[in-house]
Amino acid sequence: MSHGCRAFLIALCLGLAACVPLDRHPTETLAIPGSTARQILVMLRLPPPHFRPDADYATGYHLLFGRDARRRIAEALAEEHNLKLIADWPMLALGVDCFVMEIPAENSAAYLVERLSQDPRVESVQRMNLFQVLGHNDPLYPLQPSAKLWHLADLHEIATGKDVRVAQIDTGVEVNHPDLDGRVTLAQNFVDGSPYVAETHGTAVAGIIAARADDGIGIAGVAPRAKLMALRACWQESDFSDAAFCSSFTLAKALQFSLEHNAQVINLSLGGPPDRLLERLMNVALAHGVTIVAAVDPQIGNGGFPASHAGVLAVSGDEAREARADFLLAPGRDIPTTTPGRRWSFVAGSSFAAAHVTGMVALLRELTPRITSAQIHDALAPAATSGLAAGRPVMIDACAAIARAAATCACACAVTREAGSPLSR
Amino acid sequence: MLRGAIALCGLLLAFEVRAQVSGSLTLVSDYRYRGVSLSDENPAAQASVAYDHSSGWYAGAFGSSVDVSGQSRRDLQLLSYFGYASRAGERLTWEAGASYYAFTGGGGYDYPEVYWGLASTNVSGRIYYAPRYFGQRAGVVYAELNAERPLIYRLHAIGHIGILRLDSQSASSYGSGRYRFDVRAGIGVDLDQLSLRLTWLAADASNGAYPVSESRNRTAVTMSMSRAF
Repeated sequence: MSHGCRAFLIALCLGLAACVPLDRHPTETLAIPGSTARQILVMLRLPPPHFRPDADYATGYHLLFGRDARRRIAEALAEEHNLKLIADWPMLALGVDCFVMEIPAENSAAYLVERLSQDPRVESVQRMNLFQVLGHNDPLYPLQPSAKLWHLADLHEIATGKDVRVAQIDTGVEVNHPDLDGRVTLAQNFVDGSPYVAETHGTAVAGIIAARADDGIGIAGVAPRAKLMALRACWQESDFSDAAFCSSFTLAKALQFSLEHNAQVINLSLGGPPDRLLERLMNVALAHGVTIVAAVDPQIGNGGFPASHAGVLAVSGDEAREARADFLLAPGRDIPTTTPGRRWSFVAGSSFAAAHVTGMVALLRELTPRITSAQIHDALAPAATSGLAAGRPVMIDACAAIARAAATCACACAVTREAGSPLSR
Repeated sequence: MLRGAIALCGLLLAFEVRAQVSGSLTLVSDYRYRGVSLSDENPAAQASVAYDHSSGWYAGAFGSSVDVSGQSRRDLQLLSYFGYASRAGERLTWEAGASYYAFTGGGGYDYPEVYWGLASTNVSGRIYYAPRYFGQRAGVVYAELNAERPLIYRLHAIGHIGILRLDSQSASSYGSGRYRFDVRAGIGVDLDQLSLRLTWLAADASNGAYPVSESRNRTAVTMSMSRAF
């Protein structure tokens, strides 16, 4: 080896070694609702995937390579603006790396967002928003199995949501609950600082979507053979309260994960302020044919975000008779479902109405895999679409929806079968 | 050439706020290039630096210890490349670029190559053309398809298939077929900054277009450890 080449190699190694940061900021918890008010999200561009000899036959979008380069830029930004780097997550669907930064007490988030948005290194920047799940336990309501409204047993004669990939972005699900055993194909935690734990809201929503049917216990989910991805992006406030929160960052990570794992339906039983990062990720999902179901916030006229986002199926509980005509109306009270501790309980709220519709979408997608979200909406709410019920939504007729979307005889055939059976004669 | 490479590095490393500079150091148990061992089936050390501009232009340099002669002589392979990549939709990108492979030791193996490719998040395909492959009078087209799929936790599966096509004159002079396939499959795990890989690879025919011994194994299991920064 010539001296020149040795010098080149040594210089290259030394140069690269010099780039290695010696101290790194540890990832810290952000699972505290109050802390999100002092946080912003800074997006840095991910270079398009391309040829790299060191990627060793990988696709070229190997995340490890280049990650530190973006981290160094983020650290420089943090130092220049007196910010504290908290965490980061690549959003491949948007071609950005998302960094969470904490702002100093003396600055306002709006001021820093404005300043950073003018920095050429920054692709986009926004405030961290806080979201809440939209449901509550209410043991005063009498038992009224909501499944009866939709003739679930008849629907399950022709569809069970088999193999439809449903991403439930929520609090943690009790995956070993006897009524959910084997239904959750994947459980993933996106809340930094706390492990994946079983929580009330997530377990209740999971039961409505996909609880086991015909197992002699508990309830039957609307889509009992769907493949449920239980993505924990929200965290329960405490063991003594069912209130739960999520942030822009945790939700974005879960949406990105849903896209990577080819979810066909995404359930968002939560609400909060409009959020640009989440809007962009949802737009990518919608463009790829993913159906997004979101709960309507009854306190907000347009249903709140994400229910108000174009293309999303906005679902209101059946108690909300004053809801907008384009909202879907589904069972939202007196709903028995799974709860942590191998128990069952009754729940109410638009969160659980949304879970019903998510299950219905899984049934429709099993029967008609290429069905679009718009076609699903039209099948579930034909009156609203045609203007027959202007200003007032109507309860979803599940049997009619199946018949419309899949051109399949559903409940009427079941009635015919019953009439023709020896027992009915 | 060395001066040129240093000048290029200096230019690329010049401060540019919209650019990202990254690199890696790698130890690999056997440096297999398109299925052929360029390290005489011995371990190799590798280093790289890459520059990405926000406009889509990119460039980089890569160096690896090699033993092409098979005489336990440690030489270097130095690769410099540049190209342009752009998104062609939400999940697809295309790229075009050129690279130059140089080898120390005076074997005359240096050659340029151009390439064009498409990539999505987990799959990429490229086609390369080298008019003087490994410095020989052989026009070579190489096409490859690479895939990577996340498994559980930080594990991912890796797959690769490549086909090399020699021009007919070269094939007859080497006494080999015109086509040569290579495949690779394995698993990788990404830690904080470390990437570990275990791969199995195989090639289906003689080394033909490569200046390495025919006696080498056509299948191998390799391990690598990379540190990115």
